[in-house]
Amino acid sequence: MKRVVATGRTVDEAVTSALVRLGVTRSQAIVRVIQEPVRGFLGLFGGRKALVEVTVRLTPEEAAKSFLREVLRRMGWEVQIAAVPEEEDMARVVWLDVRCPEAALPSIIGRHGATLDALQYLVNVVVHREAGLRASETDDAPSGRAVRFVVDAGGYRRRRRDALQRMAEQAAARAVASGRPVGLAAMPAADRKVIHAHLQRRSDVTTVSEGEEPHRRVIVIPVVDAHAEDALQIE
Amino acid sequence: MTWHAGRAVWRLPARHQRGCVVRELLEFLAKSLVEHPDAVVVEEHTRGDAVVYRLLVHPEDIGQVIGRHGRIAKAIRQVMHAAAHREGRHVIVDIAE
Repeated sequence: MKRVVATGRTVDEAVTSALVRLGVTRSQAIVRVIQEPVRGFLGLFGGRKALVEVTVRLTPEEAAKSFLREVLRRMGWEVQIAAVPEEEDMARVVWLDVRCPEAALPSIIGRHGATLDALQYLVNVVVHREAGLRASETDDAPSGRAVRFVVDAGGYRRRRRDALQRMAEQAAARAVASGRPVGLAAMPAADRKVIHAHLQRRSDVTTVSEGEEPHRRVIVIPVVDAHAEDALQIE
Repeated sequence: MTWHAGRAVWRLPARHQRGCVVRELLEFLAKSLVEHPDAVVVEEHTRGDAVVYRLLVHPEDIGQVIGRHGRIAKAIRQVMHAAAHREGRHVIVDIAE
């Protein structure tokens, strides 16, 4: 995030000097006055200059890419990030694909994707916090739908999603063939969501989650007829 | 490139091997999360084999670096561990209440 602190005799002067340094216009910037100027004795002694902080307004996508790139740089990796928008369940989702040397992947992904999950969570927190500040400071109309960012590296999440979808299909096939519910292995909420979403399009099975975290798991239940489905859902 | 734990690992340029980079990472994460970035302070000391980073923020910002159910703190620690692991070091992140 590009941000400078500037001083001036007046607030306007300080803002102008900051805008020149950033190379942007007033409408592209967010201004925060840190200190109002104070005239000193005879205009000479004990006066204080105006102090302002000026931040360049970024789109959520730019902010997310910049934050992620800066974090990874401080982890020791110079990376490129490609932003790929995707429509998912009516929500705006942007995939941030980290392009990096093969050797960086184990560190960026982490065990079972733990580092990717942490990076993804932080990206969303930071961008939404900044978007929230922006809306309250400038009275902008809210942008409507919030954007959710998915952080991926080396296709890890795409492969994981494909594997989960195959697992869901296999469980559904077994449930339908046997006429009995089939329980999947315990998995985190994000993974369970992939299973539920994938099987929602099938009318011959329904899904529920049972158990307590971290042992919560998806159960795939075959639907015998409409009446039976109702009974299962009530249960 | 050298072998480490059975797989190839890129050795970092000399400037990356110093602890200051991991410390800068923590400072950057904290400053990105809080309302008062100027009040962010990171203290560093060693405890046995580990380097302990103590993060101090403005009292109003403690929630911003801990998060609901400690989720933000957990994410910060995960990213810090990943960065330090690369340098073969163990780090502990303390958040001052």
